[in-house]
Amino acid sequence: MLNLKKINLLSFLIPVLVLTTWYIVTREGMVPPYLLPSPSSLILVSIDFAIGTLNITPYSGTLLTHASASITRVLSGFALATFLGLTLGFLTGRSMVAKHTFDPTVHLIRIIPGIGWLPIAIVWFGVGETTTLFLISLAAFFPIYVNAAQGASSVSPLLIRAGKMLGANKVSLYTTVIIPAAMPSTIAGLRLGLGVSWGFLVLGELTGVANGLGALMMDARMLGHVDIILVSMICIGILGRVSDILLISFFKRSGLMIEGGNNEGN
Amino acid sequence: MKGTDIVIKGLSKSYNSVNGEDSLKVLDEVYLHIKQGEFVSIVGPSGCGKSTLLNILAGFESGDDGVATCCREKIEGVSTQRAVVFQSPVLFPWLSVRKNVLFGLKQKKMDDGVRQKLVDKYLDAVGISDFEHYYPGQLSGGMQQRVALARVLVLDPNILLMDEPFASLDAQSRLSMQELLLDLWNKQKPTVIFVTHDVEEALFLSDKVFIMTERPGRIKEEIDVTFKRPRNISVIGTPEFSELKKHVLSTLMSIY
Ligand SMILES: Nc1ncnc2c1ncn2[C@@H]1O[C@H](COP(=O)(O)OP(=O)(O)OP(=O)(O)O)[C@@H](O)[C@H]1O
Ligand SMILES: [Mg+2]
Repeated sequence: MLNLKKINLLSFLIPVLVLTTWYIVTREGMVPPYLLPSPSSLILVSIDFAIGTLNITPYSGTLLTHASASITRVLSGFALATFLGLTLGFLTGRSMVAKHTFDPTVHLIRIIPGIGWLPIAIVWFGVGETTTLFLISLAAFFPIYVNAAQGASSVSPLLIRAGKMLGANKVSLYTTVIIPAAMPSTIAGLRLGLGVSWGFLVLGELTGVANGLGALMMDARMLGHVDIILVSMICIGILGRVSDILLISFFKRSGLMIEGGNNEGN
Repeated sequence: MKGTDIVIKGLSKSYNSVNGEDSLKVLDEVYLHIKQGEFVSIVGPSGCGKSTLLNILAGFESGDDGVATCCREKIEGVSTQRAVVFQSPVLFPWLSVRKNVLFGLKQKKMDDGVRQKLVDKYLDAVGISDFEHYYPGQLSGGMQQRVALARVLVLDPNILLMDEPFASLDAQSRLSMQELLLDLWNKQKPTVIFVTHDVEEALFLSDKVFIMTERPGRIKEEIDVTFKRPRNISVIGTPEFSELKKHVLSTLMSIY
């Protein structure tokens, strides 16, 4: 994943510039701390937020509570989306009947932007937990479904013939040929789905749950703690990236994702 | 009994034409009789229906008229007893070479130790043991084709259907594949039906060569090839070989 030789010094140019500017404008008082805290104070707040020894904000030491609440929501929403998306995706990808039955409706619903579901979700599920879960699974479902269906429907007929000829029956043809062959596209869909899960997690949590990084942001905004808003944003970024890496390494380990090999026949 | 002859009687096949008008007749009353353990080749102009014929024998497709039987049973659907080597290797890109060869054995109930031994044997037979942990995408075309051969031979099929399997190989690896194939055929004696555009290849390998007409394909001529076995490339230089080659080529020319 991290190839040191491939890292070019140029990639550091903009981050370094931004950090320097940030450092200078906050030190010289060009931007007041209630709009943008200095890098050093942000680091202190982050450490305190994580370990809670300094007690410099009301949120001291609460990282674990909020992060675990958010992670749990993302995982449950994403799991639900994965289950529905993969099942329906593979079904419509491999069966014309299923495709004609489900695909047009799914795409019709897909036209409505995920955020557009927020008001009705609040009406149906109230603010909080269930709405968040609903939004995450709804938004993550579409990329997972579309890519799984695409992957399943474009499995090379030759690979299927090869599988049959080598003795695969109806079930094992699925497990040993169709699913692995559809994997590259399916994994792409799962990664997209996981990405939007984090986005819709924040949307859901902003509407009002007790714990969670999105809720924290909203709370910190009201108490004027811009540093905590920023720290939460960074946390979400890091968690999103880490979850993506974990997802990929899971597939690499399971042998369903090949490195370096071509995908001839897919 | 391991198997019996392949008999094709009056086999016809049409496809719906793409422009939607008349259907496209590809095979027109094909008659064939191939004895068990025989090595036969099919040559014919491009588009005459050779692959279609092979696909019907494999059970991937079915004919409209007539019958194709194997072991006195009508061919319906795919069977592991009729193994196919496609023109392109069609390996599973997500599996290593070893697991590709293991694929067919995994579909059967058997002891895993036995499976692994068989895989070792055939990886060795096609000379690809050193690459067992490679993925297909990391192999050359010739090596991939060896794996494709190994993964069907390991199942000890009665019938081997090969559709221009060596067409994309360079002269050298083609020759080594041909010798390898003859060698393995000698040991296991499957019936081999080998489609090729290369007359020399057909004569070098086969007991019998079928020449097909242009589409709609039928069998134009059946030629017995009686050079004694085991053969090696020196047979290609003999006057008898040249004579036969000339004959096949002129038959093919007269078709166009
Ligand atoms: N699935 C299909 N649908 C429609 N037409 C087809 C289909 N498969 C083959 N054909 C047509 O049938 C004819 C014979 O095809 P086939 O692949 O059997 O030829 P071939 O003898 O193997 O040719 P080549 O030597 O070039 O491989 C061609 O004209 C082709 O366009
Ligand atoms: Mg062909």
